[in-house]
Amino acid sequence: MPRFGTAAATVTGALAAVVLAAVAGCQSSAPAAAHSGERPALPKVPPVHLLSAERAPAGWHYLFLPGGGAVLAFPPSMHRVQGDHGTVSVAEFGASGSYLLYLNATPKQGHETLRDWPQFRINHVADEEHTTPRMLAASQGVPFLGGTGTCVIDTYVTKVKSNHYTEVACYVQGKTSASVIIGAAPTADWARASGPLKRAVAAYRVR
Amino acid sequence: MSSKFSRSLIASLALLAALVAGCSSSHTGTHHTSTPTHHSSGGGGGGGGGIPQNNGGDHDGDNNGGPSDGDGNK
Repeated sequence: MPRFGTAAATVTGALAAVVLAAVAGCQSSAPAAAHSGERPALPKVPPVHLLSAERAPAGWHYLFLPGGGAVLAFPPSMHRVQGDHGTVSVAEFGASGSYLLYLNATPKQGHETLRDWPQFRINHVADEEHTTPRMLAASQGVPFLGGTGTCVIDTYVTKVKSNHYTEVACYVQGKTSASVIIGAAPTADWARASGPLKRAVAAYRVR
Repeated sequence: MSSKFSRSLIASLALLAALVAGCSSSHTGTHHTSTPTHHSSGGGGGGGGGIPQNNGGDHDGDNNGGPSDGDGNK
């Protein structure tokens, strides 16, 4: 009979060890992002290389977002174009009427956040254009005049006319408001166009 | 003693099964909340709530082959 007691103790001990191992394995396999306060990892793309936040060069023009939440600075070659109510858009067109440069500022309208902006933007462009945008770069904690932003650079093809664009899109949080700035140009011209567009992003001021 | 042994064995197995089930169900929940979805963009994708393309709606450039603006809709 004592043999039963010994066997029971041995088997119970072994099962307890298995239970503890299972619990430990369960906890260690939980994703790191589940821990509070951690930023989810950005998609595995290079960081966005932007210019340091600073005032726009002399001669540039300015447009306030209605409500005064942000100020869009843009070069004199661009002029205001029609856009959604409550937003500001400026563009420069080529001789054929095609876009050369495009800037847009829009107050926060959806559920975008500093943490999820890159994927939010990609999802939105995919919804809008019914194509699959390609994310080229993304960065969090980008300094802006009056705030901080998260930026993404991506390329996409429009549903209408199949135009190829590359854009830098930033969600910027100020002290009292949040907004989005978009700088876009035809993908074929991006090497030339990205300079003034990134300069406009660097001069974007939020409140 | 043998009935004690059986009870211990059954209780331990039940505890192990409960822990494994709890572990797998919590993982499922995590995946659900962390997977980005096509409809989570806050926009009006699909469903007919958005602004029509081809010069429809607000006549935005992005409805006519222009660059996409920063709104949460079309």
